[in-house]
Amino acid sequence: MISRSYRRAMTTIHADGLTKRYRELTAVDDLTFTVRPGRVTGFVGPNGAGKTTTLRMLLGLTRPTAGSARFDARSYGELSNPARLIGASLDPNSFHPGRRGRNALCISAATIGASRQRVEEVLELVGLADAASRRVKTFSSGMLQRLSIADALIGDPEVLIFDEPTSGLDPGGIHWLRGFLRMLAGQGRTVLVSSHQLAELEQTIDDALLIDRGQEVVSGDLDSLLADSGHESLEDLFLARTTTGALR
Amino acid sequence: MKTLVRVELRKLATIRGPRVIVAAASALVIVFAVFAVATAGEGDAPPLGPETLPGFLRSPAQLLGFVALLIGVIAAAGEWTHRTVTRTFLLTPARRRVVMAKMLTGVIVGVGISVLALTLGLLVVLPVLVAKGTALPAVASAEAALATIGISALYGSMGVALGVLTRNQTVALVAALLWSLVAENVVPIVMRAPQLYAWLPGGATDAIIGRDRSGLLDPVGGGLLLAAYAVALATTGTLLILRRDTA
Repeated sequence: MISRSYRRAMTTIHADGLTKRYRELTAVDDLTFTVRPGRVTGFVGPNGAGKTTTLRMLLGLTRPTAGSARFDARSYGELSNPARLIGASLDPNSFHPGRRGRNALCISAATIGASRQRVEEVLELVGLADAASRRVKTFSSGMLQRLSIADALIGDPEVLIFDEPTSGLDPGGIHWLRGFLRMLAGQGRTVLVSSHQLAELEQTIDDALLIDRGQEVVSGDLDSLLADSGHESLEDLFLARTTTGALR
Repeated sequence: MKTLVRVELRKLATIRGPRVIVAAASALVIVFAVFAVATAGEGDAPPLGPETLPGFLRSPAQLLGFVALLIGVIAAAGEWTHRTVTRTFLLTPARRRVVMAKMLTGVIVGVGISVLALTLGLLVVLPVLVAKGTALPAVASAEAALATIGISALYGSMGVALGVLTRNQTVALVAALLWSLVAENVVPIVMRAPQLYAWLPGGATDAIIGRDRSGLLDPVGGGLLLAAYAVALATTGTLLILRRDTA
């Protein structure tokens, strides 16, 4: 089973001065933050704030112009079998449409040395066990999202990074995801999740990291942030402190 | 590396395209085989003789080479076409190793396709030749089979290299077709250097097949030249994907 009452290692994400420039555009600007284990951290910002670029820099998919990202002491690229430590769900459409769902996960499992049994476990966990024999092109967007989450879990990682995981999920799926993220953090895992569903996110996260135009706006324990700023909700804080709020 | 190659083979085995392509190529080679024995001695076709078997074994070399190239392109460029490359590089951040595994997979697929297709063709050709008492020259036949298998293996890796370089299945295939059908014939003429053809991939392929054309390298030299093209393309492609962000 996936649930483990005792976890031997806890991993902290450190971003130090992360910067990404594309010619004149600075997508991420000197971003420094820490994501702690045993907590769900919400990564929030308007469209184009640099959230996805930041996540991709953490995972070695995008090269920072400056700065670095580490999981404890090592960068993603320095890990010998990174998916055993870090699971990431970035793009639910990154599965070959002609491949069966189960085969897609078996390929990931074979790459990182996980068992076939583990594939069945994660399929069961995300509620796709019955549909996994179908080709991916027949999956709904919610099923794709679940498949992507299952893929991230195959290595039973300490760290989980989700980019917009509620996208495509129906209300039942969102409810399931909330409990699921809480369960993962409860097991001592480090969970970083970006989302635009602020009301939903507020019910799930412990910490918040709010960025705008590639720069940090506020970060820290969500309850403290709301208390210190005098805002009643994450959405109020978001609207007050970002360019989206200025458009109102 | 073994694990990565196995994974790459599994990726190809779990989608429909490569299976259909291999089945179609095998069927075509069987047609070649039927044609080779059924039309022998009719019209311009030579009668059954010692050259029949090596001739059959050599005849599908370019077809099987193209099929291997096609699957190599699917194995490499398909990762970008279907956006699976993100997961591939998440699971294996060492991109050089991924490209090397794909190149080896291209070679294995090329060998596998040609061995399968030639075996099926032989099931048609051999019984007829044996029944008619036709000579079966072992050395010439082995050389012909090796040439076909070698071309298929090299084109498999070439397809991967092209796919890595272009990161687009359509662009890779159009480039390969334009090169082989147009550029290889035009370049030596434009440069007023007909001897240049021997040093192009087409000339190298002709050398491996043993075509009767002046100025070609010997078969081993042709094989090495084709391998050098594949490595050069793959190295350039690898350098580019090491520098580029994965979209």
